[in-house]
Amino acid sequence: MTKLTHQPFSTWLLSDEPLTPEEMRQLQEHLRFCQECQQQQGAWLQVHRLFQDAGQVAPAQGFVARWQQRMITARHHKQRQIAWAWFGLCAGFSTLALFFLAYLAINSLQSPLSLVSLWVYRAVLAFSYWNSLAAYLGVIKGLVPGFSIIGIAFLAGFISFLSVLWLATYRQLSSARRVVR
Amino acid sequence: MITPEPQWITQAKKGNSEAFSRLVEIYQTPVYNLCYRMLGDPYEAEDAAQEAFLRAYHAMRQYDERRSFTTWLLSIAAHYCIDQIRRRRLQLFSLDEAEYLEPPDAAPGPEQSYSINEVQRKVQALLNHLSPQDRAAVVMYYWYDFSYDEIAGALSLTVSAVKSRLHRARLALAQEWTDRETQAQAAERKQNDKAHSPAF
Repeated sequence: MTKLTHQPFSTWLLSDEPLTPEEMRQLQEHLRFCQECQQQQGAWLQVHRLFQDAGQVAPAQGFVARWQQRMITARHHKQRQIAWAWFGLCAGFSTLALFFLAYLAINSLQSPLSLVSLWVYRAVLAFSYWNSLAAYLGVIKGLVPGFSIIGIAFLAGFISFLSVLWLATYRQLSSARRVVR
Repeated sequence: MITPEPQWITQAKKGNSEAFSRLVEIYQTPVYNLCYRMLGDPYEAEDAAQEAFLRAYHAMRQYDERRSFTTWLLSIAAHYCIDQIRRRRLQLFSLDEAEYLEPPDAAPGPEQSYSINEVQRKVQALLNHLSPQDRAAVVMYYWYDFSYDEIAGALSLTVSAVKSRLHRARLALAQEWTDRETQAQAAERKQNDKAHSPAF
């Protein structure tokens, strides 16, 4: 096998860039004596002609219909994948929940008295929280006599909203503009 | 190169499959031809072209309308084919064996409507000797008249890399042609010698 590396003529022969008259003259001169470059030029011309003759190959009739069918199949496949993923997720969560409930059930079966006392303690705690909250609300109502509890809640919410708005506006106005017109 | 109606592209971007089907209709030949030139097999080309259209359909929202749709679509097809060739190589499948396979029988299927003639066979035999990216560059340059910039954009290469790949590919093609000619001449000479040798 011969190596076709006669530079720069080999590059010029295969280049699409136009050659200067001087380069063209040198190339012609070289081609008169160099058989390898002549062979390379001839081979490339043949390949180029072959490419031109080949043209574009078209697919068989009904390509669009087959593509549409494939798209439908792909869509179904995707939907099935999503459905399976959701099923797996739900099954996983259900299994976890089942294990947790089983754990609670085993614990409560082993010592039912402690479970009952725990729930009684929680109920007493909730009742005492509720009493404390009612006492706090009574004090607040005493401080602002003209408003009901709901009115006070709205007022507090409104004042909080104004504070946030003020803060956001301040930040917006104090920061440098990003877009200069 | 073909220019599709802009409203079809706009509609397809909104997920209208009917509009995209029209684009498939327009571009089926260029995309199939690229896949065929890249893979050298009608079955694989059909599969790759369909997959390229499917990928384009799913990526349609990301398509920037300032770019050429043809370049974008053929870029998807070329990248897919390059991946396929690499995967095929991993599976130790020989392209050299594939190039001499006869076209499939007249069984019902997409390959039925055309036959691989001598020119196509020669072209494929030559193209199969190039690396996947060089092959893609050559196909885009000689079958689609893409500029260096367009090829660079489609194959994620620099313009100088495209020029260098094309030059390397031309050199390899010319060399391959010369080798084949030499082999053919040698075979012919051998046959002639056999024919003229005295029989004992």
